[in-house]
Amino acid sequence: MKFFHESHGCSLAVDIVARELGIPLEIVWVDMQRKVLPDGTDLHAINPKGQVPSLQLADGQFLSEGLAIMQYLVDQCPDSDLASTARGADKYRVLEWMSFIGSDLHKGGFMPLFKKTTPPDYRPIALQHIAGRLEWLDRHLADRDYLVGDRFTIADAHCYAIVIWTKRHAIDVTPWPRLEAYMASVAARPSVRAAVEAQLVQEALEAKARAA
Amino acid sequence: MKFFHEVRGCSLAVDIVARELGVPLELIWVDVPRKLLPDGSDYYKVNPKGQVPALELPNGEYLTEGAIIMQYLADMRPDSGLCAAPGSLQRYRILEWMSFIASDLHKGGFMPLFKKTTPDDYRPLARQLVVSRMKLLDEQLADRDYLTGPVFTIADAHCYAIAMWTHYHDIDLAPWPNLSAYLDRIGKRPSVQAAKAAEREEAKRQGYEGKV
Repeated sequence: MKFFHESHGCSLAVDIVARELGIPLEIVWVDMQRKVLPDGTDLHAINPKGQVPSLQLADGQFLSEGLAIMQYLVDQCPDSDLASTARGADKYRVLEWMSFIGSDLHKGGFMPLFKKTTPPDYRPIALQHIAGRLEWLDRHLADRDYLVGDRFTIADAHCYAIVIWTKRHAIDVTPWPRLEAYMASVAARPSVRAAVEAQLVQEALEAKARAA
Repeated sequence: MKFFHEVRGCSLAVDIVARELGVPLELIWVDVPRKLLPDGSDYYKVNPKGQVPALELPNGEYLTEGAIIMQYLADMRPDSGLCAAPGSLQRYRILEWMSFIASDLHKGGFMPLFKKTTPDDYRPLARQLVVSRMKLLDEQLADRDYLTGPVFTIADAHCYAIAMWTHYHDIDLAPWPNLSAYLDRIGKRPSVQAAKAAEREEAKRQGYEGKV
């Protein structure tokens, strides 16, 4: 399946999940500055929202939204460890976390920090929102190793991909030691190492192309 | 089931869905600014995030995140047609739409307009984001009656509740005739009329004088 990805985005979560499940994806790196695919096609042709990630399904249709794509992938592997939570008694808890991560942490939290048009006086407010959400995550992780149940789920992949943006925006996470430990533990997973490496390689290629 | 609700909230969508399904909810109106329940108890005990909606499950736990509560309720009545079967493409399309509505439309769109702390120089940017999302919705609705095709689903209840916030923020829907017709069509549904009536009755009881 073709997977439309970017070097900086939350699409990292989908790549982590695919690697956890052993689903081979054909990664297509999108130029998110110009919103074009490698062959010059406009990103809007495959996703009218002009966003990444997107997954091309077997019948040629495109599925967008990280939450929907990750649920789709885990459903392809019903016997996997990831599926035991995502399709079991805790399935709504997994989705509950992913809804919160996608809305409050990503679009309602970090997104204004990414936009160049955000005025300087909004940044402290955005940082305060993020801090509140990270505080909540830290408290939730006080007595557990993963967001839901006793094992890694698609919610943890999603959470990692967003919270890692604290590095990009120089947000110190030491006030939240449980969250910091959780991020380190997730980062050590082979799937996460490989997915992060793939993004770093692409980022370096893009930097080189810009400099040329 | 106890359902924790508020006036002018996205929780309207959940009440619409419950009425469509014929699932009786006991509406509990939360004082969101002070995080108090009608009996004076602390709402943080129900939802540590301090947000509405929340649903009390049969096992006494609380489920949060409107999009997920709506799926939970619809899955109680799988023959209702309000939410497709898990694993079907239609189901992923519903997840896809509701993820977008919760993140890009609600928390990444309207939320800054609702917050008193949003600085004046950010408001035009926030409005512009909302306007671009309304345009996208209008384009998507050009060839269909509802978001996922010919049938009203939980995604439409969700979209209705959020898109109607254009009225609260004096955003004129005239540029988007498909969206306007869609919202009018949904507004006529008995479930929506009943949910709005309950909301207005509570607003009146509270002495709330703004638009509802």
